[in-house]
This record gives sequence, C-alpha cells and structure tokens, in this order.
Amino acid sequence: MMNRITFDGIKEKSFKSISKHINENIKKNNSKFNILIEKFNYDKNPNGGLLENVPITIKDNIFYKNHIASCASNILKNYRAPYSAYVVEKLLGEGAFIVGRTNMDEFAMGSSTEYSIYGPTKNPIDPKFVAGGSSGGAAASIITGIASIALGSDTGGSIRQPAAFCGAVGYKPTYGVFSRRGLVAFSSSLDQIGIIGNNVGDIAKSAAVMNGKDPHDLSSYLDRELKHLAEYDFDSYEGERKIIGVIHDFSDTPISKEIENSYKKLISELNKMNYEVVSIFPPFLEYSLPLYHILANAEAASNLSRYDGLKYGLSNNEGNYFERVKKARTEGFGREVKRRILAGTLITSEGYDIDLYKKAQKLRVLLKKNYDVLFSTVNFVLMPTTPTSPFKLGEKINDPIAMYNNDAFTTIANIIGSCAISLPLGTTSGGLPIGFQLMAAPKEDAELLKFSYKLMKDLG
Amino acid sequence: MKKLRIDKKLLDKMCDLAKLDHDPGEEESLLKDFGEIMAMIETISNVDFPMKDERMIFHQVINQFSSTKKYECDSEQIIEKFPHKRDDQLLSPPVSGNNDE
Repeated sequence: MMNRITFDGIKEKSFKSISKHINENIKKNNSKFNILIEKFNYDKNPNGGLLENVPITIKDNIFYKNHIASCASNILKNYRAPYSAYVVEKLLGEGAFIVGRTNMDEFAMGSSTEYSIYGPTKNPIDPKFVAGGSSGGAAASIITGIASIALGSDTGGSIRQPAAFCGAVGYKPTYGVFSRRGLVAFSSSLDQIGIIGNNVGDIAKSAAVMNGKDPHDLSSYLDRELKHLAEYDFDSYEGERKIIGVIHDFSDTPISKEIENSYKKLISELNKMNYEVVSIFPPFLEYSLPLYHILANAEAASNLSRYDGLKYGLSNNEGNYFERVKKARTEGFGREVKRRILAGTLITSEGYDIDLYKKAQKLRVLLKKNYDVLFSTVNFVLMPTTPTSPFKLGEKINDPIAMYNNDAFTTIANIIGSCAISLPLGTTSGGLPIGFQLMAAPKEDAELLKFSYKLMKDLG
Repeated sequence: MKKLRIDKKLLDKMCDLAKLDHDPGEEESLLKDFGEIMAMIETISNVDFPMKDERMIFHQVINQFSSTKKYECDSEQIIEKFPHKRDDQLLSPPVSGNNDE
C-alpha cells in the first residue's frame, strides 16, 4: 500500500508504468479508504517541463475546466467548472497530469472529512481513524501512492492537519503566493491553496511552478525567491544560524500528553543537534480559535449566500422565489455548513453585539503586529500541528467544539497570513502518524522550505 | 458586553435571514450546538486590550492648513470647526491664496 510516488526519477519512467502503478493503487485503496470522488480519464500531458509525468490530485473545491467541482456538497453536486484554476493551469503547463478529485469536508468546513456527502475518508494507516480534514482525501492520495502532489485548500489548517494525521508533508503558503482564482471561496481573507506531498523537495518544486502574479487575483504576487526553488539544490543549503521559537507552557491549550511529550522530545533533539532554540509565548494563541471562527463564519455566511439554487447547482421549481431559495439551501447544505452560516449570520446581524466583530478585526491587526515583532526575534516558530493524534471515526462528529479544537495551532498562520508547513514527527504508541509545524513570517516561504528540508534531513 | 440568548426565536430569525430551514426534530441539538459555538466565539470578549472610542478613531482629523493642529472630536464638531463653509455647506480648501472660496 505504501509504494508512494516521489519526483525521484519520475521523468525517466514511462507514462504507461506510472499510470499502471496509479491504477493498481486506486484499485487497492480507493474503495477501502474513500479517497477519490472521481477518477479522471487522464492521458500523458504533451507539455514537457519541470513536472513531466507528475501525477497530481485536486481537492473537490478547485476548478479543472469541464470537470465537476462539487465541494462535497449537495448544492454543487453536478456543478462543472467553467475554467481551470490558475494553479492547475500552471501545473498542466509544466507537464503534470491530473488523476482525479479528492474527498473533503463540505465547503472545506471540518477537520475529519466526515462532513462530506460522499462519506468520510478513512486514515490509510488505520481505517478505524479519520484522515483529518478538510483535505483528508488529498492527504490519503499521497500516502496510498495515487499521486505525487495533492492540491488542497487551507483556511484554518485544512492542509496541515490531514498531512499530520496521515504522515505526509503539508505546506500552507503565505497569503497571495498562490492565486485563489478557481478556488471556491469559503473565507476569502483566510483561504489559501496549499500542497500535500511526500517530501519538502517535491513540494518546493511544485510551489515554484504554481507561484505567480495572476491578474485575476490582485492578492497574488510573484515570489522570486520561491521561483528559484524550481532548480535549487537543497542539499547545498547551509543557511546562517536560524533561531527557532518553541513553546514550553501549554497550560492554555487543550493538548494531549502524548503530543506534548513528542514535541518536547523533538526540542531536545534539536538542542542536541545544536539548533538555536529559544522559548517563546506565541501571542494570543489561546484566542486564535474564537477569533478565527468569528472571521471565517462571517465571511462564509456572505460567500455562501450566492448558492440560491438559481445561479448554481441544486434547483427546484416549487413555490415563489423565497421558497425556492430556502428549499435549495436547506436541502443543499449539510449540518456543519448550516451551523457556520447561522453563526456568521448572527455575528454580522444588526442587533447583535457589533463590538464582537469589530473587536475581532482589531485583534487580528494586533496579532499581526505582535507576530511581526516575534518574527524580528526568531526565524521560525515550532509548534505541534495538532493538539491530539488522529481520532476515531464518529468520535467528534456530534461535538463541533471538540472538532474545532483540532485547529488550535494552525489557525494563527491563516489569521496573520504567514506561511507554515507540517512535517512528520513519527507515530504514537498505537502507530498513528503525528506532525509538527514550522511557521515563518509572511513572504519567507523559500527560507521556510529550505530550512524544513534541512531539518528533515538532520532528523533522519 | 451585551449577549443574546440563543433560543428558538433567535434561531428562527437567523434561519430566516440565512434563507435556511431546519428540521423540527433537529431543533434541540441545533440550538445546543449553536449556543456552544457562540459561547466559544464570545470568549474573545475576555481579551484585554484598549478599545478606543470609535468616534475618536474614525473622526480624528488633521487640519491640512496647520499640521500641528489636530482635532479630536465627533462628526458634528468637525462640521462646526471646518475651515471653509458657506450656508452650512462644507467647501473644499482653496488651492491658492487668491482663491476667494
């Protein structure tokens, strides 16, 4: 099952042999773990290039022209993308090919891929456990050897958390590194397309291809340092001495003992290897979750108001306009999406405590300033990716707060718009993967990737 | 800070605004979840940092004709103190000394 596909020697292999390998892995794993929602009829990409023969999967909320992009929701069940996402065009332009679309939590709202109309994706290491979410299908497609690179989206940890739960590498870039054109909007100020892969080198090469200034997304920008990683020799990276900020006090965070111990063991390893490690208190970490949910839900309520059963997807002909819209939305959205829309509607309603939303916006600015100061002192912040190891299927599905707590360490990077990467940190005593997260200042993506490569090499 | 009670009336109002219906059988659990989510969200009201008076933030203006003079006042006072007015209408500042306006 674990015969993964890395970039090593992939150009020299025949497309036929890669395709055969993928098909065997799909046959062996897909029905067992529910990874791909749809396998595409792919062929060798005639465009040669940096990513020749590289198989990729795309999350069900990323557009690939004329293919369904349903966001794992009833409301968009048969919706076909009218154009390809900017990043998809970039990857196809360099010779990659798309194997299929992967399972996810509906509209990327969730941490276990259980809120999908297609059913949950199971953890490929142990199918009794969740694969994480919302990009659970993407992470599982890497581990099961269905793709070399999986595109996902990360609004509050949806790339990094499933990567950690499945034992993969998950990279959430700085806001704007990848154009969001062709990504279905959940929370526009927090959403970013990200990459899950087998190793840092593969991810860096793909990121170099995907980055660019897209005239259709004014928040996107060209990162020349990142572009250089396309041909970069990572083994040559020495780098000046980097300072890593670590947390010693988890009293305000709901972290499991097992994760805390693994994290502390990692810190002592780093000390032994002469890395420069300093103790920090990440500012307002304990408030990042409520802050995230105010911003994300308010934006989600607004973004998802476009699904009225008239312009997109699910529609009906019953009753007047209002009745039709209400019926389409009621039947089209799942329970978690409805919960978040209702919360977002309340937060932005006249009559509700308006100070809360204003306070959240101010806190976001304050947080950003605090992290700017922090990143002028340390180069990276090292945290566990998740507060717990993978949990059992169904364990948290009826407890939204317990589900949200999975994002305790990941939302902060989205709130301040910085880059972060989840790297594998071995397994629990039960053999389930766990991960740790490195976060860097905004626009330090190239340095983060180079350093992560070195760190993984040093950690063996 | 004023907090709203999460009850059926509020839930129905939000559903109406969000153009959603809910299954009567699910009402109780939806109310419970909704209440818990809002309680979690409202913990940010515990963050202790100065919240300036909104009017001071949005209506703090600098007199363009005297960079040292700063007004900190509400909108009515700004209108009152505006340097160029005619018949209670605010006028744009003169571009040269010869401009009568």
